This record gives sequence, structure tokens and C-alpha cells, in this order.
Amino acid sequence: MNNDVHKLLRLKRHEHPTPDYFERFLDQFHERQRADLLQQPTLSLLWDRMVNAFPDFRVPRLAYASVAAAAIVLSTFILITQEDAAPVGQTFALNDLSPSINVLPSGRGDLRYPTSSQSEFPPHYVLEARPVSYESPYSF
Amino acid sequence: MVKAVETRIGAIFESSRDAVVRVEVNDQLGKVSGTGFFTDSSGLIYTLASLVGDGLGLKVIQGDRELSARLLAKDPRSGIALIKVDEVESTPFLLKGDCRDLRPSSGLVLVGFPYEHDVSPSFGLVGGFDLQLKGKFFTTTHIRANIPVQRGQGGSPVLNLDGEVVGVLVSSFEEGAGCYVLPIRAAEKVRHDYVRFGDVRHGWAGVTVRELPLPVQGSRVAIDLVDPTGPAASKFHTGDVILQVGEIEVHHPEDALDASFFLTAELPVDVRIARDGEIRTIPFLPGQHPSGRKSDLQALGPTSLTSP
Repeated sequence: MNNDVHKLLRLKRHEHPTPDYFERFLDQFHERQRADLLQQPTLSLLWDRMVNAFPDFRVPRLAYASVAAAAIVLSTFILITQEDAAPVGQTFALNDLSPSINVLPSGRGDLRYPTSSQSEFPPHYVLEARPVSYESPYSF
Repeated sequence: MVKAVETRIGAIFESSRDAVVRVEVNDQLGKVSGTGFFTDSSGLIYTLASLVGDGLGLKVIQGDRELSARLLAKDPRSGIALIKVDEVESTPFLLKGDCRDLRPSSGLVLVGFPYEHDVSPSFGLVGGFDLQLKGKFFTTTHIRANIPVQRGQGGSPVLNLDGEVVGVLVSSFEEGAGCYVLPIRAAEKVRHDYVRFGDVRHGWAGVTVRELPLPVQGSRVAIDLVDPTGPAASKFHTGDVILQVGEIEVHHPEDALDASFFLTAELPVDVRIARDGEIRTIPFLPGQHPSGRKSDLQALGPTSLTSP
């Protein structure tokens, strides 16, 4: 068994690739590389091309933080704007009473924006009272 | 046809707009604005309980006039508040109609103050009469009106096509596409209580009812439990079938709930029942509703209301 292995190793020592082996190897490598490129997302390809076109272009680290901060500010602004435009009250929905009848508890403090300088703000326009009861319907 | 309706609505609006006022409250919590309307010539106004707060900084804007007002009473169960202006000798007011004459598809006109705009009319139809919505019960039957409403119109009068007020706008649904209207009869119960007793006195019987599988004398409502400490203890028994409470006939449990809203503490009412195959009429004196005992109901200010 050992003699067979030694013979095989001796034969391998004398084994050499054909002269065109390395040229074909390089072609095959390039083909495989192109195939991988074609499977990348388009955005990634565009980004790579842009980076290649402008080798000096680098995204500063702080740019990511700035974009994130701008997105937060914009989202907050949109949410506040929508809140102002929304109807008063817990949409009853109170969300368990949807299709969204709007209901407010009787305490008026729940109706309004707390503020100490009222004249700076427009009035809070009231539409809702308390149409439902939480009393037991069959006990009176 | 459309022109005739338009003319009618225009006439109702013109004849009622002077009796509709903007109600504003400006206190330490902020500025709130809604609608109200004169219900008599003495300056008594119906508006929303959720609007008036504690009555501080309360004012009424009628046309170009700005009048100070005071809070007389507010009732969280119905959502109605009574306020009064004293600076005027006589005020225009709306006549009251009978909301029991309304039917689904009856025409309704709402007159109120949307946002900062001037008094405006809206038109719609009665969609139905609801005592509950998705399992939550109202304190009394409300008119479901297919009238588009906007913020600021809470407390607006809703009129029939005879120009009589039949209800008060108390809530919207579906983003203001429709609204719930408290029948004027329920608002009048609050006013009558105040005039008679100086506060709002919802009554309480202390019974629990159940629905019968088959009607007895036209009613499916039987007394299931009687609170031994309540006012009904000595009057009613388990198994009594309720046929009528005051003026309200009872056919379903919802009718009994509706009738209970109109009970007034310490004010006798006749209750017609079926017991052991006989029909009996029992005089009954309701007690104070638990919400009143928790001082949830409030009466404020001097009791100098002039009854119309």
C-alpha cells in the first residue's frame, strides 16, 4: 500500500500543466468575475462606477449623521402638522369603537393643549362631548 | 324640487342664526371654542359640558356682541351644559320640536360655527336612532345624522324642516362624515332638573334586567336582580316584566335603559309591570344615580334661572 502511494507521488512530481493552462485559467477567472458582477444590485453597480469615476470622492462620516438628523426633524414636523389637522379626541375608535367615532371624556382638561399664554395660540375648536356611557347597560 | 329644498333650508338658517352663538372659554388651561344656542328669551344657552370646563373665562359671541356668561349646570351623562348671559334683556331663541316625530330620512339642518368661520348651515338626513355603537351603550337613544360636521360645531342645534330644534350635536363619527345628536328631550330633562331642583338629578332604581326569550304583554324585559339596598327593593321582585316606565313603553332591554335616563331622583314615576299574570301600575320613587352620588354631576352658580 505504501509502495503504491510512493509511486503515485513520484509520478505527480513529473506531472506538469500544458503551456496554455495558465492562459485558460485567467480567461475562466475573468468570466466568473463578470458573472458575479451581473448578479450585483443595480444601485451597487452605479455606486461602484461613480466611485471609479471620481476616485477622490469620499463620504465624510459626519454626513451620515447629518442626513439622519435631517430625517428626524422632517418626520417630527410632519407628525406635528398631522396632529394639528386631526380631529379632536381619542378616535374611539377610542379605537375599540371604530369605525372611529370621536369621543372625549367629560373633563375638559383632556380637550386642550396646556399652555400658559393662551393668546399666542388659536382656540381649540370643540366638536365632541360624551356620547357613550360606561355604565352597565342592563342595570339602572 | 332641489330649489324648493334649498329655499327651505335658507329660510330655516336665516330664522335661526341669531339664536346660535359661539361659546368661548379662555382660562389658565387655554382657549376653547364651540357652539351653543339660546333656548329661551332669558339668555339661557345649551352647549357642551366638555366645552365649558369650570365656567371660568366663559363668554358668548352673538353677532358683533361679546357677552360674559356663567355656568349654571353641566351633565357629563348627556354631555350637555347650561350657561346663561345676564347682560341682555331679551334674546332670540329656538323653538323646540318633538324628536319622536323624526323618522329615518327626515331632513335635518345644523347651524353652527365651524372653526373660526361665521355661523354656517349644514344639511343632512336622519340615518337612524342608536342606543349603542359597537357594544358601547349611550346613556339614551341618540339620533344618527348623516350631516357632515367640523370642529367648532360641537353644541350646535339640529333643526327639523319646520325650523324647530330637535337635538344638540354632541359627537362625530367617521372623521366628521356624520354625527350623533342628543335628542332635545334629553337636554330638556337636564334643564327641567335644574329648574326644579337646582341641580341635575339622574334617577336610579337599583335593578338589573334580562331579556326574555318570548315577550310577555309585548315586553321582553324582566327584572333579574333587585338591589336589596336600592329604592326598588320594596317595590319590585325578580321576574317582574317591565311594560312601561313613565311615558316610555318598554319592549326591549334597550327601552328600559332609555327610560332610565329620564328618571329623576326623588321624583315619583309610575311603572307598569306584569306580575303573576296581572298587569299592575306601581308608583315608584327613584333614588340618586350613582354618578350623582360620586358628585360627577354638577350644578354651579346661583339658582336664578328664569323658567320659560
